Amino acid sequence: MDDAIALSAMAFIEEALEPLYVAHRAQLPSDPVYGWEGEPSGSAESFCTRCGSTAALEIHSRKTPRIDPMAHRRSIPYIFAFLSALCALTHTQATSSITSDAPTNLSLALWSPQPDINEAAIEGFFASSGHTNNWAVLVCTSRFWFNYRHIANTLSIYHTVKRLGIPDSNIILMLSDDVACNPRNHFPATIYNNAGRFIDLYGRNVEVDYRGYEVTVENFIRLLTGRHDPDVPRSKRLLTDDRSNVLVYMTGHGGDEFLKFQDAEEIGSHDIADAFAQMYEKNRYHEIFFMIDTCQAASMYKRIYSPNILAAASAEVGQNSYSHHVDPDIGVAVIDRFTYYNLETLEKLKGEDKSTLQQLFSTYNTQAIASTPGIRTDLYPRRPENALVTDFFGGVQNVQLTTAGYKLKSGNLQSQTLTKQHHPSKSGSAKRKSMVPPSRNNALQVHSERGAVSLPFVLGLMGFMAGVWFLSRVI
Amino acid sequence: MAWTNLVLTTILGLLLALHAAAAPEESYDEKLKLTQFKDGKVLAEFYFTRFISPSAVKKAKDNHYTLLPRSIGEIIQSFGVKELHLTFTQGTWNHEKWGYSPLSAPGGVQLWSWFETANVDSQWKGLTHALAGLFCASLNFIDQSATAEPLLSFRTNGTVTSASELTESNSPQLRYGSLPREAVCTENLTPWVKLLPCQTKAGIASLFNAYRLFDGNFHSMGTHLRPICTDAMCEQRGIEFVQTLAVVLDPMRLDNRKDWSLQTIFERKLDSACPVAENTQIVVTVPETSGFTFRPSPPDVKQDGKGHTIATYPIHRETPKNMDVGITWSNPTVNHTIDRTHSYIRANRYLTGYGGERGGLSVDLYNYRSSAIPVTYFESIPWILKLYLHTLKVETSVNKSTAVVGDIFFQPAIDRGRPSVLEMQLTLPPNSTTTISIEFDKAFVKYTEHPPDANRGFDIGAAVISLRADEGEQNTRIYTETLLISLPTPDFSMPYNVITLTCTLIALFFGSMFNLLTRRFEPLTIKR
Repeated sequence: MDDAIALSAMAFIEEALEPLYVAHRAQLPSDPVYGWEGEPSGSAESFCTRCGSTAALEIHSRKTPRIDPMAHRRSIPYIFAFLSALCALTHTQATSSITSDAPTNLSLALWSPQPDINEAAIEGFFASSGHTNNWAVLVCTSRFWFNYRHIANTLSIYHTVKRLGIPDSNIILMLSDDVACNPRNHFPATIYNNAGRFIDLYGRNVEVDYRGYEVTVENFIRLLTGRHDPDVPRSKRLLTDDRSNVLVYMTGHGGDEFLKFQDAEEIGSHDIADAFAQMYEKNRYHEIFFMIDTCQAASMYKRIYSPNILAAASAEVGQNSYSHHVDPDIGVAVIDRFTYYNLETLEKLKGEDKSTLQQLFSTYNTQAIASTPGIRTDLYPRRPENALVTDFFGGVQNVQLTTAGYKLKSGNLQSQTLTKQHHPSKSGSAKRKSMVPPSRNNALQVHSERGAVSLPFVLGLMGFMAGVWFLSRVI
Repeated sequence: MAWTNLVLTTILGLLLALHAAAAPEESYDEKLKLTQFKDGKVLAEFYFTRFISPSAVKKAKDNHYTLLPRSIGEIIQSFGVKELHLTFTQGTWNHEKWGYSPLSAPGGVQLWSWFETANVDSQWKGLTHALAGLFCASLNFIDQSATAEPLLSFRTNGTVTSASELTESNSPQLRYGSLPREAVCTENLTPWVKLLPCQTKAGIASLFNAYRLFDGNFHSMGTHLRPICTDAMCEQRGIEFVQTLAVVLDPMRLDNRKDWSLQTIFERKLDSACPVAENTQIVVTVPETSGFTFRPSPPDVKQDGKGHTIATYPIHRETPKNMDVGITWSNPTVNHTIDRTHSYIRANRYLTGYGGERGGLSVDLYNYRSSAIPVTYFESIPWILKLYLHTLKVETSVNKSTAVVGDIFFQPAIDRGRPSVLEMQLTLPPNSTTTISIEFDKAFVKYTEHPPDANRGFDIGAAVISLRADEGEQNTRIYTETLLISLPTPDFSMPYNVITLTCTLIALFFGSMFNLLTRRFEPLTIKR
């Protein structure tokens, strides 16, 4: 019931504020110099920033879409709703100042008049991943030239995740053999995943972190759990935290509950499960998407017991996983079927794509893949319908724009000029000193919108808020 | 007027002072040397040379980097490195046909470094790990058991210490390691290129085309760092940081013609000089004096008196875009003869013996000159070969009475601890073949110590022969082949078989004994 009241209250406030908001928007063009010539209205600004952050924090800390049921006083939801609405109002004008898009979603949801869209948007907000960085661990466990396709599989995924925005520093690439510069390779320094040879997966810019004999079960488990020799360089470490979404992709030759490394040793499904459990205990991940392309691959995720892990495998227990096709010039199979059909979807994705993992899974065609892909979702409460493909295959672009400038050390003329250039709206005092009317440009415009919360407007809002609070006390 | 004069003098003085201060703290040069051999192959040697003055080195210590890459600067500082030489090589340098080049290197990875620090061993370990991360290579496999301390070879190229600093506690120390089997490919080139000021966007590095670089007969990528004295007393030392890349390409294979140009061998043309570089030049050397034309015609051609023609192309900012340097031959024949005047020492190393238990190692050193040549022979052999010093033999094909061997330094190996090191000062008699041979037992290594492809065998790094430098030349080193030796490999499924068999036996034994012991044997009376 509280939820409904809160929502209707927001709708009410929204309606009440609409004219003000319009007026406020309309005011901007008529008063272009306001942002820096007039009073910067610091108090209002700081108030909004504060309420924005508190609202955002409030929302982040909640795992369920219910608004706090402990709020027994009726006024609290109203005030909370009002504060949110206020922030939504001020923040929608300067969305660039919001670091993650989650609060924007919420505020948009609160503004939109239809209640069902509200619910969907709120649902969407709480279903969104909440990760701040992406990592990929891509492992090819097979040595020898005839396993070309496994290296091509791994590099195809490397190519995809790099294209979708995960930087090399966040990708741990393990290749157990050098196929690109192998003397058998008819096309030196290349690896292709298609007989058409459309994309050279090795390209000009590839960084392999573990290669050759370094790709061992020990190193892989050390990598996941973060137990390294102190001398091991950063590029060989998985420096994840509890906000990291990790894509773990493995390919090689395997069997029921094991995957061979270099034809010499095996990793068992229990080993992987325990490594993930240790990662969970050490807060080394937020969510893991474990993808494996090998024979009887589904047996490899069977033993995982840590939460927030989604797994996809190329074949059910008892099934083989097959290669896709041979390039007669290279002389060996160049890609496996499961990876090939994943790439058919993944290669079409753009960075901002909203496709979900469920949509990816639904493209799996048992006939084409020649094995039944296995998907394990029971450890993943967010459901694959709500997880975007780019939550794992794409990188989070963590861009933080501030309207407040960082003041460099005073007394240095050069630094003042710098501040002026980079944060024009904030350097009001410097502007006034220079007595030169500033020229407008686009960057200034954006900032002036943010800074132009007029004093009477804010005072009016505060008065209105006080009125609502007073009314709630009286009634 | 005196007042004006004063002002003028002050301004002039200030300008002079400014000019003095603006003397280059750091400089950067690019040079591409293209040499065609008589058999038609083209050697391209890229030199990217940076000089960092002592004051800039001091600034780097406060994290102010300009031309010196920060990753390299941090390595120097944190590991106390004075001099560093790292090469990634694919293929074997053909000394006979291609002569001696400072850029020739043994196959795989070679790393040697001079340290001026306490606890060298831990610094060396840190250095190998850091370089492994920086260059995407398995350099961390150079552990204590693969590290040698040469005494006679690998003298410093730079000026490590002034005489006053040579004290016992602070004397510079040398470490050497090699990985003969390390693959070299684009992933090593990528981080190496990122250390260049213009990367591959401008300058001669824009010619880098991985498809061609890794398609040659020889490819070597070097990172060299050495200290340089800037004053006579060597009180101030700057740093010279040189990145080199040598590649031998074969126009005969690519086009079946002796003619070549940048376009045909790299599939790239030179668009512009790197703006950071003070000098950029391309030098083309041809082993003939006539029968060819340079394209475009060079501003400067000269003969070196040894039958070579050398053309120099300075590259400026005004140099037209799409510059393509090359040679067209009027005489298309190629010459496969070997010229011994320039490659007078040759070495050839091979394994002797048979079977999985013991074997031998031999090196033939050929001297084609009619004068005795002093050389230093260095060999670092992993502990898996247990050398017997008493079997060391040095034989020479000519006058057996002359003393061929000078100093010998031999360090026996420690299992899993350090390699055997054999260093010898030799004087190769004129027109002779000298053979060094030594016998060894092959170690039984634990079955977990075998590499995943155990039946391929273990690689033994190249031996190094240092020739004493002629006047005004750098020390020349020539490298032998790397060797592949197979050790007795166990049956890797044996533990499984043993467990299966043992368990079966135990089960049979235990089952029957248990049966016998717990069963009561009683006479059964059958009632009638």
